[in-house]
Amino acid sequence: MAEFPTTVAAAKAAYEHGMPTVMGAPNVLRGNSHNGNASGRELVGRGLVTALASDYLPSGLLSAALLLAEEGLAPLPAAVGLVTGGAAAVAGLPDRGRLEEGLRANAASGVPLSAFAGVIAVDGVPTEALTSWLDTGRCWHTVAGQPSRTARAAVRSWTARR
Amino acid sequence: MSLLRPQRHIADAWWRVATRAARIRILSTSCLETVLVAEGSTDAFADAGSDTHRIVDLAAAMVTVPAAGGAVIDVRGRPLELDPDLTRRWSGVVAATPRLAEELAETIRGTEER
Repeated sequence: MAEFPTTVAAAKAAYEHGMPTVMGAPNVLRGNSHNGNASGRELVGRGLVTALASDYLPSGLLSAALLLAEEGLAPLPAAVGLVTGGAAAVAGLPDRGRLEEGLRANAASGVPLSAFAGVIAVDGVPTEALTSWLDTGRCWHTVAGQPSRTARAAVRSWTARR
Repeated sequence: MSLLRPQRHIADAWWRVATRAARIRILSTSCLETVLVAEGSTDAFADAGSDTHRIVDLAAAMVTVPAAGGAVIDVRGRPLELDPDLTRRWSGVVAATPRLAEELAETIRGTEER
């Protein structure tokens, strides 16, 4: 792994040798290296970076990824990949870090009732949904047009009282 | 049924719903509350007219709840659209049957026949 290559030439050489390259998120956020080395933005723009590290700013990862996308240095999925799948690849953990079938789930949530809900839409029409109650691991997966595998919804306690 | 928490400006509508349901739950986790309707654990879940819901709160329910026989509608009849503009808001009504969804929306609007 090439950790914080100090010049564009070094980053290119690492790339040519198939080495993953890590740059610092603070470098990206500042716009340049704090000690005059290569610019993270420039290396990302040249497609030479595998992952961003938080370095001395633990909160900087996501903001650096979003900034790279905003400034057009990388498409949003590639920019976010620098702090997710890219980071996992650098750490030698290819079984996580990407939203793909068969990979390990890897999410963090704050409170016991937190849930994740995702939907796939085709031309604006929702066709498939997955909701997960993170604290319990219960999942509800539904494909439009197919019989639901969840228990059927039912009215039990709504009253006619007005 | 479950409701979003009461807010002063929609207190009347919130109370109209609360007095008709046998039990009220406030879980403050919309995505989960919609699947609890789909699986039959609760009868319904609603935003009593505060226009708090973004489409991300309701998008999965648009598949899961109808597949279980229920319905997802907006209190004011606005179509639910998968639009990346997250400034758009709805007052979602998720119910075990389409008829209950309509009845709840009427109750929240205060337009039901008496």
